[in-house]
Amino acid sequence: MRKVIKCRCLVQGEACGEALVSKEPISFYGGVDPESGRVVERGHPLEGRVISGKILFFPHGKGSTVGSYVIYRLAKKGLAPLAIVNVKSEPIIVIGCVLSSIPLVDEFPAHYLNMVKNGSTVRVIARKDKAIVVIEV
Amino acid sequence: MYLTAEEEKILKGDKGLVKQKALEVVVKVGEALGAEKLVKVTNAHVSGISYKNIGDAGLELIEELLLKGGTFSVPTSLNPAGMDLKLWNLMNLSEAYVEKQFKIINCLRSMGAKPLLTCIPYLINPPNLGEQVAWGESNAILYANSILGARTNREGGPLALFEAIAGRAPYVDLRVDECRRPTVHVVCRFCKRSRFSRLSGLIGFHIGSIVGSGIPYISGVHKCIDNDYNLRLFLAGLGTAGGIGLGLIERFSPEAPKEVPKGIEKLEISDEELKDSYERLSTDIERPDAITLGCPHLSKLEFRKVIETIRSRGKARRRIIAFLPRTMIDSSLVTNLRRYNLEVYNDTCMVVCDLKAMGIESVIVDSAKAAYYLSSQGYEVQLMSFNDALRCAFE
Repeated sequence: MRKVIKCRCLVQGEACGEALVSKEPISFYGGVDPESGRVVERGHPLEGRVISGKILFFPHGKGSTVGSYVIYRLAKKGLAPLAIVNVKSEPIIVIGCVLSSIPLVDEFPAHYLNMVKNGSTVRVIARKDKAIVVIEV
Repeated sequence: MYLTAEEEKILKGDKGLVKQKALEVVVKVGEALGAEKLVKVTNAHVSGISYKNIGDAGLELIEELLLKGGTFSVPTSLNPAGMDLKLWNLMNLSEAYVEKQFKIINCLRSMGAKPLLTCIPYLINPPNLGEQVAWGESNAILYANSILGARTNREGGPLALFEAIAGRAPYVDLRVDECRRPTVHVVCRFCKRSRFSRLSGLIGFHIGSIVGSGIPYISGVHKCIDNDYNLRLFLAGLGTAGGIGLGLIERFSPEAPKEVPKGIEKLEISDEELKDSYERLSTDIERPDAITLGCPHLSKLEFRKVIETIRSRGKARRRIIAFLPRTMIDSSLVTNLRRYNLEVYNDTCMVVCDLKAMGIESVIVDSAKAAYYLSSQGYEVQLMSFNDALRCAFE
């Protein structure tokens, strides 16, 4: 069943692709290798997974303020996520996505993080007048 | 968003192209976060200085700002770089790395930055209660907000850079008085001298992991934090594991509520739970390559303790590497200390320099923040208290 979830648009854009979901927050600096897009934080639920080309769901950012540069470096190499969906975005993520033109929405309800399956196709529409995430449940 | 006449002028390009672009970015981020207006900041602290961290992409971004005539509108300090600007030849770095690191520093200096190159700017230029500043560096943000009562959000490195040029930041979240109230109450019930509760960085890290985001009111933790250094280790841990920019800490925070806040979630933590976080961060190492101290940077006081230990015990058996601000040490001392196996670096830190190039693969640290970032970088890491780590250097 398709479910359409209303969110808040932070950085405009549209994307359709495979979901990659973390129920844990992400620190892009230290947590993600800027050369490969692989999650390297020890013990992180996404450890070993590559975030490039995915629609990346996670509750919120954590840790280093240098995370914005990791997002930017990934984008310059063509290794950025297609879009980012947060429960609550913080400036570190927002500025990373602004500089990298990565569509970003937040106010995604936390309990839906349990319902989005890794690898399922999701769609993100981030416009000022309309911000939605379409998932299969 | 409401903009003043002056801000409108900047956006029209009256104050130059770079200031216009910088303000455009600040407005864009502000609108995204729901800010109704901007606020002038009195100073900025920019993170993302190390070439190792920001790479060519970051260097090009900064270089372009300078080439197009960018300057900082407010006093601006810088976080640690990827090497010691004087002793880089001892750090075994490639020529390209050194050249690019100097380029980053020189660009920022030409734009008017003061290259303090430290993560503890709050001990050098502390902002006042209620002062609006634009700070990157998670531990510095937490100290500024929680201990000094200044106002900043967790500005990402490039955002602090644009805010320093624009002289303004979005008036939202932790900048607004009403948004600085506690959202969760964390009650610490630790034995004062247990193995884990002596590690204040670990306590901070653990609280950061369980709280995640929001503003914790933290009571009872003062029993485990007996000096400013332990407080800094605590906040650094908190800012590593969580997306937290303000902690209201009983006895330490000027804005901590006088009475226990009602109607918010309450979490109790005790020594046993710290064990999980400890095991995540620390592995026992038989022969550590070095003891690394200074994450956040050591101040004069802790550095004096290191020197006193060397004085009383003589040459260390293992390498001790200490990181501290250049302003806090007489640099003529530094080379003499090497014969005691004590290496001192300024301008950089263990997380943002390249320890591997210096022949180090396993370290003992006293900082949960360092343990997290160094283990992510592939190092073997063991976490201890400052005193135990120092003792280890002589065993």
